[in-house]
Formats: sequence, structure tokens, C-alpha cells
Amino acid sequence: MEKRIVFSTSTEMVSVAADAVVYFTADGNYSAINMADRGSFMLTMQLGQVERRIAERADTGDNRFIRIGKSLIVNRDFITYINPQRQKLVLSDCRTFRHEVSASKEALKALKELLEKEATL
Amino acid sequence: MSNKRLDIGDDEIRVISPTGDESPRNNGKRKRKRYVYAAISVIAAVAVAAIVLTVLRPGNANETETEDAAMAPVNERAVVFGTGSDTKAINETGEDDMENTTPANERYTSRRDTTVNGTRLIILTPHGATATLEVGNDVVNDTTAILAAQAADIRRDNGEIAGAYVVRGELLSKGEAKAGYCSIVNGEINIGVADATPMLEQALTSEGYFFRQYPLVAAGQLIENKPQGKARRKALAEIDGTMSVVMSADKLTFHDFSQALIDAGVRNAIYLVGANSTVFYNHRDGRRHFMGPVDENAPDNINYIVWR
Repeated sequence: MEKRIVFSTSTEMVSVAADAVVYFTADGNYSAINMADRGSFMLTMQLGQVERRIAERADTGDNRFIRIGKSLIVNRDFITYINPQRQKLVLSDCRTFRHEVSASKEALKALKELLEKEATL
Repeated sequence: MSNKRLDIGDDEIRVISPTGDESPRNNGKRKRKRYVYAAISVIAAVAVAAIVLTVLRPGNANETETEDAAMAPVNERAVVFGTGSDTKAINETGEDDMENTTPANERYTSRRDTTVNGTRLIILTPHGATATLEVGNDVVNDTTAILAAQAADIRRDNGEIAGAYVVRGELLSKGEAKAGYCSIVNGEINIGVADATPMLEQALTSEGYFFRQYPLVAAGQLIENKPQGKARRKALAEIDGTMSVVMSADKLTFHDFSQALIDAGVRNAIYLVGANSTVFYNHRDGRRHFMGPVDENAPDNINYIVWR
């Protein structure tokens, strides 16, 4: 059965398949989940709480989500293109959707190095 | 995961794992940055001390007055800037704004002209006032308003307001529109990005206000918008926790305007009606300044965010 992450507050509940989440973004005291089907949900919780929830629900060895700076959590399975100089990160399944997000040069450089390092292991 | 572990800088990344044993990246850089910040702080302290000593030295009073005179407020309708510098320089155009003698209940708008990376911005910040939304052009002649800017767009096909629009808890317009939103609930302004947001419901249930516009900046991140043309841009923007109306002095693309807002320290911003839309503000001396023409033949649904 697919792994689902449940975000629950006093007023709402959002349950999403972890492998269908493309990225989370911070929106002040809110966070937005952006899904592979191009849908999105607004959560009434901060990105730090989202990160904590993901960590609680993740299986050992499941490290698909990466926090990038204060405002972004991405699913590494969808990382398609990184350009630190242009502060550009493209998340895509190379078929049906393509999201372009931005982060600091330093963070994207670290992300690029991390993925390059893992690719050579 | 402890809260301390959740601390992260904008230049760091962290792999999220159940054990939390993945260390944050760029720790070395963070330490180096601390040293740099410490060095900058020391240099700044020395510079401030030198400036204070220079200003307090007898015989320099005239020089100070001359500089203040150059930063006198601009009363014309046209936009005038005090500097042509490409470096980030901020000119306070209202000399009174520099004093800290403002009574808490005084209502006025301060204006700041700044240039960030070559882009000239005008920042209008209301003081001691509360925002509401209002439909119609009557506000232009309302002397109690201290700042007003056109808020939601009007559809060309039917003259209706584009997207959800709420005034005093009443839904005046609904429908799909831009993802950016502004809600005013109990006098508190919230701006953000969401196709669906509980803030709309709150505005409806608490006699609040709500409108939709293009999102420009969310949590310090630039948001791209489809329109590619250039125009004078306006935004409702949050800078250091304070809401301001920010205008570009020149015609810009959405992208360049959003980037300029970020460079100016904006954390969140949504668009306001741009180009030749109407904006006016009352300076602290009570004089009203118009930053755009008032359309005598404005459509019925012309609408404003107004501070009183």
C-alpha cells in the first residue's frame, strides 16, 4: 500500500500519497502542497510543522523529501534540473507536469552537490 | 525533532529523515557568515560612532540642514526622485517622518523613495489607520481616507470584479481568478497565495474583506505570472511585518517588479491594479497627493483598498 502523509488540524485533514507530492512551499503561517496531478492544498500549519510530520511518517531509509531553505520542501524523485547561478530548480515527471521554483544560490549549490555525490555512490 | 533542529537558513538544505541524523548542509558557510556578520557589526559600530562625533562637532549644523532641505517632500502629482544612484539608497521624502514625536493616534501616510538594483520604487506606508475595501469612486473625495489604491481588477467582458470580492462580510463577486489573495479580518491584513483559503470564509463570517490579485512574492520567493508586458506596477506588500503600497516609477515586467520587491525586503506581496490606476495618500501635513489620474468615467465596480 502506498505511503500516505496525513496533515490534520482542528478544522481540516489532508491525506496525500507521499510519492504524489512534488513540493511544499511556505506561505506565511500556511503551507501549500503541490501535487503531481497539478492540484494543490493549503495547510494551516507552518513549513516546520510539515517537515516534522514528514519525518514522523517516513520509513527508515525514506529520505525522498529535502528541505531547501526556509520556504521549500521538495520531493527529490521529481528534481529534473538545477541551476544554482540562475536560482532555478525544475521539478517534473518529464511527462505531465513541470514546476519551476526558486531558492538561494547556496542552497541549490548544496543540493546539486548532494545529488551528484549520491549519484556516484 | 526538536525546534532547534528545525532551524534552517535560506542557504541551507536538509534531507528529511525519520531519524533526523542527516546533518544540515553549509554549516561551514554558516559559521563563516557569523564571522562576517560580526565583522560588519564592528565596522558599523565604529562608523556610527564616527558619524555621531562628526555631527555633534560645532559648526556642522548648516551642513545637516542643507541635506534635509534636499529631501523635502514632493507635492506635485508627478513622481520625483531625490537620487539617481544605482546603489540601494533610501530617501525619506517626509522630513517629519524622521522624528519620533508622532502621537499614537495620528493617521497619515509616509512615503519612501528607493532604488534597488536600478529599479525605482515608491513605498507608501499608512500609520495609525485601518484598511477596508470599498467599491466606487466616492473615496477620492473622502477626506478621512489617508491612503487608497485600486485593488481588484474589473472584467472587460461584463464589468464585474474579477475573482472573489468581499466587503463587510458580503460576497459581491465570486469565481476563479488569480491565486493571490488579500483578506482583512478584524482590521488585520493577510496576503498569500492559494486557490482555496480559509481566509475567504473568515472574511465572510466576521464581516471582513477579501479580494484576489496576481501573487508576486510569497515568503520571500518570486512567483512568476503569465502576462509579459511592461507597465507601471503596484503592489500590496509586507515589509518587516508592515503593510505598504509599493509602486514602480518605471514600466516593468511582472518578473522584474517582483524581483525588485524582494530586493527591497518584501516577504509577501500581491499585485494591485497597475498602469494609470488611481493611488492617493495624505501626507502627515494633511495634504493629499495623487499618484495617478482619477478616472471621471470609471466603471461602477472600480474598487479600492482604503486606509482610514
